[in-house]
Amino acid sequence: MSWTPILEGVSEAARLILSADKTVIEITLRSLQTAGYATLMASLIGVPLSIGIATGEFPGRRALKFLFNAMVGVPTVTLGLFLFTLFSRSGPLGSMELLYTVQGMALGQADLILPILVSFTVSAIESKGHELKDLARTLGASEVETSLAVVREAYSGVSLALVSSFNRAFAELGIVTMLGANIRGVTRVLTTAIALETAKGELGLSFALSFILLAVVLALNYVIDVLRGATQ
Amino acid sequence: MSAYSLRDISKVFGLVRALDSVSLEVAEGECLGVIGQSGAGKTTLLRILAGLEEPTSGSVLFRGEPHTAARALELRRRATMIFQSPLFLKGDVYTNIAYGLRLRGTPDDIIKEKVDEGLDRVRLPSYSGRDARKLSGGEQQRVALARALVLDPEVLLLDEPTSNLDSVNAKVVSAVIEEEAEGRTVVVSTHDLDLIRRLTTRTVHMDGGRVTEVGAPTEIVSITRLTENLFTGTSTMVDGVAQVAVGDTVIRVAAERTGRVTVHVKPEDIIVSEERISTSARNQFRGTVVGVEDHDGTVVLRVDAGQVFAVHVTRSSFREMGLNLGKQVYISFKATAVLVL
Repeated sequence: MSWTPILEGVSEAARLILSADKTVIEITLRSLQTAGYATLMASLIGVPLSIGIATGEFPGRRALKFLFNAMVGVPTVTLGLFLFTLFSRSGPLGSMELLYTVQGMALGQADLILPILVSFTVSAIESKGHELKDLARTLGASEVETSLAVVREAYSGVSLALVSSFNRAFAELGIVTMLGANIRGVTRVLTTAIALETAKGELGLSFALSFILLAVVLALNYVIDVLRGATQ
Repeated sequence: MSAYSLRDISKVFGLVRALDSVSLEVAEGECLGVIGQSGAGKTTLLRILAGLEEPTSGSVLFRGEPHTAARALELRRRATMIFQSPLFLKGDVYTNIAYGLRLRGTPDDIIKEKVDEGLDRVRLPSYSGRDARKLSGGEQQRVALARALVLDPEVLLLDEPTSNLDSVNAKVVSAVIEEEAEGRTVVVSTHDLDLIRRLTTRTVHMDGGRVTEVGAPTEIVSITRLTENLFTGTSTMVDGVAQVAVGDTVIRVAAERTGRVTVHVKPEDIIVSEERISTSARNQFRGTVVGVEDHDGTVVLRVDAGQVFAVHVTRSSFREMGLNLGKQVYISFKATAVLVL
């Protein structure tokens, strides 16, 4: 048992970052891009959906909420496997040629984080209550303006939902492995690279990539936290 | 022309029928009072008038035009509701009062003018920079009133605007409402019978989701009945029973309520005895008879037991018990006989 790999990892990470290693930058950017697309797609669907679930009154509302809450715990490999069969050449969505592409991985991650985003957003909006909706409406807000007002009130909860969803997508391995297959220069991202380097016994590089992953997550969360603080 | 015509309106929430076949006309420029105990359907009625709720059945005409979900926004731009507990958007008083004006595309300089004017009207000048959610309850209700008034709504709907307020703020709110009622259609639900009498020309009494009486405030039997034995105090829950402290008198009420409440005991539900009696009635007070009136065979006693209670007794009881001014008696009534308004 030795601390050497970790220490090597720290110095390797520092070296890779300071020397602006092209491959590392490329992989990191691809991770950011994939998770970014995924969060964008999930929020375009998830935020309006959450507003509907949180403020609407329709049959099956509770069941839908339960479903999304339950889906939060779906294992990434299971979801990855399911999507792999959908995207594979002979699968129902095979003609879209999403397999082994950034778009395919992003779509997979979007599916993964949608339940997290919806669950968090719904509870953030619900905590602001139906009454606030009534307030906006009686002051003359249209349905869209009312939703905006409710989301604005729930802003800090909604932004937390977005950040958590991004983090989850950025740091997950199962889906990018299944749908991206870690192709160098095409679908290799931080998590798949870490898995590969570890398997190859390159623990120093693995740690270096892990530290970069952590650093990005921390930096991003710090920025968001500062922004949230500024608006409150 | 009628501002509103309600035809056979019912509203069902799950198993609860909040409104049951209500038909009602509200004239343009009229000031209509709505009274009734809590749960009578007053709030639901106001919410339907405000376009915040669709009736389960029946039709609502606003200015002769059928009100539909598609036209709800138009109605809400003309009718503004004040809620019993005011709510605020995040931010200062200015942001809150400006919100409705911004929705209407009012230019910023005019918004500023109107906000200042609105705050003057509710006697809270220079409050615009305060955090709306940190104001006292009374100040909040006044800001909520200003927020509605700057929109110059044609219809003002007020749901128990003074019931959670201390008497100083309640007075200001009532005064502002009286000033602003001019030239508008106003529907106000309240337990403040003084406000009803001063402000409204017509009052409806609701009970169990139905309109049971409509008439001038002086004509409504329920009002005259309700003028007696009304007590306002602060309720706390003790062992599942609400204890309403009215001055030094604590009235026990079989209800789950905390905070400021108004309660009512029917004069005929109060028992008078010479001695303290052992009874299931949770309320028993010692007091002095301070008034005696005879009304067609019923004697109305006034018993001062910290608060003055009106008590109805028959002439024969009155004679047999030798009740007279200055006599010491006990009065008892059940916690279940007390209505929370």
